Amino acid sequence: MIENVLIGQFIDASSIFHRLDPRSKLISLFCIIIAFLLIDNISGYILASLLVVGCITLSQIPLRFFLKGLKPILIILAFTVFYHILFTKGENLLFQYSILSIYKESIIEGFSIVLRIFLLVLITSLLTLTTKPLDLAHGFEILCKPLKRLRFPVEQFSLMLAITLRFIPTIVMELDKIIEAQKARGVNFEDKSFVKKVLSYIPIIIPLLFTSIQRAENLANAIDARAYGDGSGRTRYKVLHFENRDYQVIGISLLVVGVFFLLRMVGG
Amino acid sequence: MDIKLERASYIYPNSSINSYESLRNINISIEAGKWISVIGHTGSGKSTLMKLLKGLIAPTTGHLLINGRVNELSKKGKAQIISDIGLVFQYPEHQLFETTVLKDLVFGPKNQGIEMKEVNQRAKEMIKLVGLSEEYFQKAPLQLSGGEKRRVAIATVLMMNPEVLILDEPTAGLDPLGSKLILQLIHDWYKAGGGHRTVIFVTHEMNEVAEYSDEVLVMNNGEIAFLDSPLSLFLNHDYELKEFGLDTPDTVKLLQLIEQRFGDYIKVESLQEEVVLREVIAYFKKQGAEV
Ligand SMILES: Nc1ncnc2c1ncn2[C@@H]1O[C@H](COP(=O)(O)OP(=O)(O)OP(=O)(O)O)[C@@H](O)[C@H]1O
Ligand SMILES: [Mg+2]
Repeated sequence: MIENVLIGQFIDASSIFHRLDPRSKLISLFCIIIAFLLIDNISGYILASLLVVGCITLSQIPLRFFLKGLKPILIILAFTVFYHILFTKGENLLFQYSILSIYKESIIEGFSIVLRIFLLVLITSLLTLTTKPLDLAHGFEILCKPLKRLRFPVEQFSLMLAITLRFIPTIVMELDKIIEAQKARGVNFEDKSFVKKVLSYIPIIIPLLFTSIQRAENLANAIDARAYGDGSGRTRYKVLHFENRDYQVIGISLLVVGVFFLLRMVGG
Repeated sequence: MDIKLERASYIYPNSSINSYESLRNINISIEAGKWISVIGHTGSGKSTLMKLLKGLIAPTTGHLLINGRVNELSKKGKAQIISDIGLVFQYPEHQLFETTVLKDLVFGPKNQGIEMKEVNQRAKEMIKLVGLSEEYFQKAPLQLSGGEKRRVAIATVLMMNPEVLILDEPTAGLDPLGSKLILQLIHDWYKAGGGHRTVIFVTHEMNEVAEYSDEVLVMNNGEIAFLDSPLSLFLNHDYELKEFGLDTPDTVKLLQLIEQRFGDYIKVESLQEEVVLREVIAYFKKQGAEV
């Protein structure tokens, strides 16, 4: 169970991505997402794939952690491909049978959308896998500070983000524990049809909420015990600062956007 | 019930980057009726081994055999829980999940398909057996004290009427009296089986090991370092145990002290407190001391 949840999962290693400032990672991710959205031809896809593969290699995180992040969206992706193949029209007809007609363009279109989503998910996973959730939220908070002028509740929002990121793995771990405890007392989660499997998880939900609340209470006590106030003017235990490598990475990301923009112009 | 592991190893699927083996090349055969103590430094793989024996997790390589038969699903890499083996988790918080003690107690037997009437009857007996009363039935398990939680955890497992009872550090964090009560409870359950019940007991308390076990399993870095009787282990391998960061029972310390001071090695048949004290008193009497 836990191994299928990627959001908020941080894998410790000492790659360049781990050492970067979360802010530069967020900015770079933003650039890369824009760059990938600009892709509209085959060379763009090849380049983007190479870039992603390169980044994954540099991250020192085994591929399986990235692939796990793709698993939950596989169904949606498969649906997208089929939808495109079956329902969009193109010029080169490949196959026709009564009302069903399949065009070369729609096959290409379907697969390129999927490839694009794949690449986007992988590069986003890179951020969450190499950044501690709290650092991420902290970086997010600083980057969004200008929005404060527009009365956007930046601090509350990033605290919410931090807590969510922090607690998803905890809750999933809790779920794992309860499943293990119930297995030990004779519940069978394995040999069941899909519907039965889903149903068999229902009795877990109450214990899950129950133990999570209990644990939240303990956490609240622990926070109080360490004299955590209302947060006004609190000092941070970790101060973020940019280093050369952060500027370099942002520079490279901007360059990537430029390259993909050119590719779109030339290729199109 | 005989339990056997053959060339078993285990790697946690979600462990961090360099997935290493939490257990390596485990070969062990546990006969029915034995009391086995399991010791080893923290992180040596004791808890993992216990989950493997219960069938909660399947060995990454190798097999689990129950009464000489390979646990079918363990071949497919899936865990198959063995309901005749009861496992008391290391942390009672991980074991108890229901909203009331009573619900937690009846959870297991209900899954075994036992009639509600009998289950309720059992719950009443069991809560007394572990030294609590029916007043506890409606309490929330996670709001009990540490010692109470452990008792309830043990009760939830005994409710399923296992042949083999695996306990992962059931006395950790309890005061001496609390530990003693729990040990007494487990020992009574063990004796009541007339030689058919097995106890596998993980502990850091060497006196508990010396007092109760037929055999001691020593884990070190995910491997079995020794499997021996307490007498032979603590007297012949005390040097290695020290290397593993493990202590020796008080009775062994006493025997060694006498050997150092008086140069006499007192021969004993077991390391149980009573036996060793009797021999020591006999020795001093022979030396002419008034005891
Ligand atoms: N759920 C898990 N996921 C990943 N690795 C784990 C998990 N549980 C244990 N490990 C690792 O497996 C190894 C053995 O752990 P185990 O809990 O079996 O040790 P132990 O002997 O019971 O220790 P202790 O005396 O502290 O209870 C440790 O290195 C631990 O980090
Ligand atoms: Mg343990």
